[in-house]
Amino acid sequence: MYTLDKIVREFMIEDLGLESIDRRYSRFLSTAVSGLRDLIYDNIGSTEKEVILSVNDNDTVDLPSDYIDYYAIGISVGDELWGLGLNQNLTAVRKDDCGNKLSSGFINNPRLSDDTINSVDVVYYNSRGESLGRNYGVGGGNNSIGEFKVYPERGYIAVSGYSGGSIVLRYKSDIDFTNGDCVVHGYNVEFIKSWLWYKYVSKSRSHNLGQIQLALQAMNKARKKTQKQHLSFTAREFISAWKSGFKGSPRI
Amino acid sequence: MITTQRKISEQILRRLRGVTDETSFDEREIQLAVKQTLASIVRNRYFQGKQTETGEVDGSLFFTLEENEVLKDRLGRFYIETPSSSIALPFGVDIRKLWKTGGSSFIEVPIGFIDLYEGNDAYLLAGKSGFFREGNKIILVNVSEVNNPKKLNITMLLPFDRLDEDDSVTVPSDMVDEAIEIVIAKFANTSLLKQDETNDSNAN
Repeated sequence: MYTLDKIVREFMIEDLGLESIDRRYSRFLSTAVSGLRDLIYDNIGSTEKEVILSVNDNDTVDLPSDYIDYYAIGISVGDELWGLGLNQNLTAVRKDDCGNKLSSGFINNPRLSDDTINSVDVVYYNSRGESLGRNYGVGGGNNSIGEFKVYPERGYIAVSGYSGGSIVLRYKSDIDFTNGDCVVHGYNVEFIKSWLWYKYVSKSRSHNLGQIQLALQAMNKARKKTQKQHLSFTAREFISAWKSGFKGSPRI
Repeated sequence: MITTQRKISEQILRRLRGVTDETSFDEREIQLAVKQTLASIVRNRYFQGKQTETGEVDGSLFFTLEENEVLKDRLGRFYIETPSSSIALPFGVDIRKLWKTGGSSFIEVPIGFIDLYEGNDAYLLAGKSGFFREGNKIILVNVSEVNNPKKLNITMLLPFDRLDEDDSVTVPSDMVDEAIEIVIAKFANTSLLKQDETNDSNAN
């Protein structure tokens, strides 16, 4: 199991050829954290987490502190995650903290009254009394469970039409520090070392442009290699994926 | 070779008396010069080595000073008094190790660490404690009342203040030879200078 501390130490031994830890350790540790973040933000070896979060009275759900991006938001039904629908038009706050619905901004506007908005639900019939269904292009796409929109800069998810008390959030998480250190996937190790070397060389006045270029190339190569390693799959995974694409059905 | 500062000084003294008629060399002066010269040689060799390899310092020149008491200053910081002066080398190489007996070693950090790294992910030093130097103190970082070590050991490069003239030190022979030559050259040059007995003042 690799930790950032171990990687920084290995870097100091292998690349800098040091005999003991010197006062640059904290700088390298900070640089290593940046490297790991850079990798994770590029979706390479990122960590997926799943948490159950309660819905606040004002129809918002507070995001975890290590939230970066979501993979799925839904509810747990049996063993499965049933997703809420994404609604980009969902306003950030519709209720106050006590759960009271805020007054609509359009309520006094005759062109945008509640009646106008609700008219989309009207079922239309032609002159012969045949049902035309709803207006084409109006409505639809709604999720029967509920809808959401994430406001990461505000730190919450706005939900609508969902009456349950909690939701399931499957998300890409930031680096997970435990007691100041964090576990690093083995595939990421060489990239972080090459990142450290590139950052060290590029900030050092004793290295010329050619050396910096070489370090940059090595770092990019390590990134690609790491990405490929993460994308590699086992024979079992391949067979499973291949089989799921074919369903044997009797010829009629 | 295993030697003492006194042995080196005596050797220098014998040779100086052979070169000059001067007999009033102060042995303490020579011992001081030996210390300073050895420090200069170690420093120069470190930089010479750095040009070719990693700038290693011979392990035989390091000494561990044990059980230094951890104190707390009025600002609430834990520290130990620097037990001895050392030879200033880049990146804090002169302090090889600071540690609690049976525990892991402390990591040296820059003096502005607390302000600079506050809120940074590296602030906790991957769960380790650190230290920086401030005057004659070694201030401990990430140390609280809970994990405060009562005593710390420190391994330093040639801590002359804590080494007696008769304490054995293992110094490479060529380094001893170099030190002797330098000190003799210093003292011989001074003592061989002819006294200016001619009156150069202009009579007019």
